[in-house]
Amino acid sequence: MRQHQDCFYYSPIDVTHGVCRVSGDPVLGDKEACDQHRPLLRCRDCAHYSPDSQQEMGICRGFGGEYWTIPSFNATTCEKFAPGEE
Amino acid sequence: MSNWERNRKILAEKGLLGGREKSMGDEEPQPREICPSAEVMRQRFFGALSSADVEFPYWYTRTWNQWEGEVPVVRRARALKAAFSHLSPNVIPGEKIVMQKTRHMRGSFPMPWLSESFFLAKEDELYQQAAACGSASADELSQFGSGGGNVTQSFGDVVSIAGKFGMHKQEIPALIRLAHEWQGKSVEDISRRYEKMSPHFERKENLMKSLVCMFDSGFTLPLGREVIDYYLPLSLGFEGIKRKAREKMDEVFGQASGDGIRGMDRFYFYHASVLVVEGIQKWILNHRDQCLALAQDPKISDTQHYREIAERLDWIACNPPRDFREALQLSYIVHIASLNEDAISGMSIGRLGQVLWPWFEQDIASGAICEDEVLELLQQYRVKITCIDCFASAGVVGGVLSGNTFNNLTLGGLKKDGSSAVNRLEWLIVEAGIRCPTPQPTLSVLYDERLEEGFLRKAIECVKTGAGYPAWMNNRVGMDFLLEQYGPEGMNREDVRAIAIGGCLETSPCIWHAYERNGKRYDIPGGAGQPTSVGVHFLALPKLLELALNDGRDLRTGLQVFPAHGKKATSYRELWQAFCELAEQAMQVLTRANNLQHDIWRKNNPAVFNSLLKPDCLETGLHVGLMGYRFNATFNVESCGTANLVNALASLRQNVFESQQFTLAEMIQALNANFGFVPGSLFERQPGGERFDREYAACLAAPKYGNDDPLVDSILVDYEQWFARATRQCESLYGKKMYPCQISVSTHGPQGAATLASADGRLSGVTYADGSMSAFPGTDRNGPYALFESATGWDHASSQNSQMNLKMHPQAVAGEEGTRKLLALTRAYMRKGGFHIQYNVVDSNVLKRAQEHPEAYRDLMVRVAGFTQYWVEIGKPIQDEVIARTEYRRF
Repeated sequence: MRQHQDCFYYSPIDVTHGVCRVSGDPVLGDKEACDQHRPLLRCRDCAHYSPDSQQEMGICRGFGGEYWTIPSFNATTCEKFAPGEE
Repeated sequence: MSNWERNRKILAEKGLLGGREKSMGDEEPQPREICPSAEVMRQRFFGALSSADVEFPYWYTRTWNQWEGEVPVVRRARALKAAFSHLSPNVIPGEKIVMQKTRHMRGSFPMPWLSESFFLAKEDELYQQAAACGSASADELSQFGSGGGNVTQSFGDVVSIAGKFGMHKQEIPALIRLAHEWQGKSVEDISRRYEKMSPHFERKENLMKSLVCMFDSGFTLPLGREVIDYYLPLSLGFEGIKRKAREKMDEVFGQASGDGIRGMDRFYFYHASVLVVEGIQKWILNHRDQCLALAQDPKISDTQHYREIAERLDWIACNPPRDFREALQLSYIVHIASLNEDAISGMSIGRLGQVLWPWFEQDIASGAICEDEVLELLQQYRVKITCIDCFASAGVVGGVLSGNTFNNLTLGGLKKDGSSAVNRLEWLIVEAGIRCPTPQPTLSVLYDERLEEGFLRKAIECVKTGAGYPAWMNNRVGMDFLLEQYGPEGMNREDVRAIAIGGCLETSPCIWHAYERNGKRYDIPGGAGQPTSVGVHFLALPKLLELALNDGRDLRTGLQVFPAHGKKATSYRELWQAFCELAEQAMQVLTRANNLQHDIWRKNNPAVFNSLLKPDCLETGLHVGLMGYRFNATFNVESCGTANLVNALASLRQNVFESQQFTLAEMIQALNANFGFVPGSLFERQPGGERFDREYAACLAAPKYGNDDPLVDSILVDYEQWFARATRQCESLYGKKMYPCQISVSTHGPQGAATLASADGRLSGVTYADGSMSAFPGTDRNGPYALFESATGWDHASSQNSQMNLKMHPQAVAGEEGTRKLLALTRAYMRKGGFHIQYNVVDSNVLKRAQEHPEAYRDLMVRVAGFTQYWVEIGKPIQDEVIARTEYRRF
């Protein structure tokens, strides 16, 4: 399910909720996104990312070598982000 | 439905919405209205949880690991650069002052390189190891308020961390991983390894476990309780700072310049400075880019707003500000960048009205901005500063800080030439504080006889709103202290006039910077000293007396804190000497342990951004840890429970040694039996508890501090003179003599909880009196002027501060007459030589109702001990103490 917190228009206020930049409404981050949804880039969307054997973690190979990461990290500020396969 | 209504709806759904009846007297005019944009922000704040995430520590740790073997200060700078560069941007809709510590409006993050265990789940092995250490003892007795933004319990996808912060469960695996990566490498762990080599290690541990001392400072809050300096970013801009650092790199490369120990370090510091500034620039530009993307998005309605913000950020990421808007925004960014570098509380703003005066004065004169817009920006600024959280342990954030971060803003005082420094911008800052009541920035007035009467009345008007600010500090007393403490480092009569308050009320050394704008010359004040309230924090004075009476043994924990001597005092003088000896031993042991912690911190975790901001690091190439700051004699010894100590000594002197109504052994037995009461109860007696009724009655009837009583007041004078001497026997790691700091912050709650009954009639576990000059609640029976007589028998300039809280019923200060009387009262205390006074103007009945129905009092604020905080975010012991404070209805 696409969630509000995975949207470019979502402005986080706290760990539970934020403000939608399009509607101006406060929204809960884990609720289903609306039809205005614009995906925010996450580590899991990157070609350098692969899931780890531990379900909640992943591996990043974007900076040479391997380092752990978590799939939900925001990747918009990552200089090594490369779009992965859909 | 409007946005505001929608916001309230979602807050109501989360159970976070509250409204309340007015707490002010009916006859008092209501405060002017908050501006709509600031009110939207404030309502958002009311609904915001204290949120933590691991973005910053992830990138910091990853880069730190990548650069193993690099020179420590450069390695740290690379880690900081990566962390700043990768923080998610979030320009929150409607805000004109933008950016915050993290992506969340009220966000913070752990710094496992300082301390990596306290935030883990209790089942984690690391947590359990840490819990066995003395430094974790304060956590057990510290309480957060369960309301407001505190996440005291996990719920849904949110995990409660360290009893206050909420983190999304998706990030918990990363949190645990980060903590384990720093195991054995954090400042705390390395310090502990070396502390164990101390011959006094066991005693130090016992001092912490018994809560004689509240916390270690080297790995909890290594910076803060100081005044920031915005001058370099405001005058040079970030590119200018980098240019200067690069020029210096060329100049000092490979040269010791006569300093064989530190000379070669300069090059690395300059290199580190460039790296960190680059990271902060990227952080700003990431926000600019977000604004640009939003400004070009057809779905966004307020594109012009985002375009303006983008242009502002684009400019100040590199250049000095061109106008007031940019100057205020840049000063705020510098502030939060400083707070992201280390775990910091009390990085105070200083004299912002004077720092920003060149831009304000000229922009108003040219019509580039109007006062209404300045007022709006200042109100938004208040909410932004209120959002600043500090991620630290429950003992520190709950037990000491009560969730506040003490970003104090100083008003008044003198200019460099000795004339009043009050200006029109300071009036507007007070007005913003009236219109937009938020805990931060708290305001402090440096009271001087030269200040304009109108401004003083304006500040009193603000006090009367019940906001708890401004506090009043005695400018002359503060300057006397600074000259004495920092004279040996070159402070002169002009420097001292730049004085400002760091943290709650830590008098801090500052200097003047010459600045020219459009051909007009200004003197801008800024902080120039190391952190204060680092060293020994806090000494529980009644607890030390308890140990002196019990042969060095802490009956609560069963620990023999000091070696047993087997002697019983046969005179008051002997008892006093026994107390002094134990206290001096404690100070020495704790000073050495904290010196070591700070030494590890400066070696492995040196401050780069904070260093470069202050004189003279960028000139000398030496960071704070290498004494690059102008003034370095800042470490101190903080005390707690002064009034209870003095009252207990008076009681013992009168009841045991003078009237000989009881033997000392009888009195000790009564104290250790809690006068026959069940521990934790004010009313329930233990079986046979009545046998201590005589002792209890005599202790309650003994003379009390705050009533102009010669016996008690002479004990206070003896104590203050001894404390001033004893603290100066302690030496900081910078080779400077230490000094007294006499504020309790919130430690009077947990340290009171750890203390058995005392001879003043205080029962076991009861919170101490707040501050140092406040009377114990209900014991000051002769009015405030008698309290002032008691408080001013000693020289307040011998201490960094003293602290006096008074609680006034709103009716006592109602109307014009009330304003006049409250100003006269304040002036009377200042003229008698008191250093500090602050007021709660509130009806105690409102506080009692707020305790019963916190959901209806989300916006109620009270003054605790040096800071204002939302009632619902304060732990119950401190709430009880504020309720119990003597409420003056007439004076």
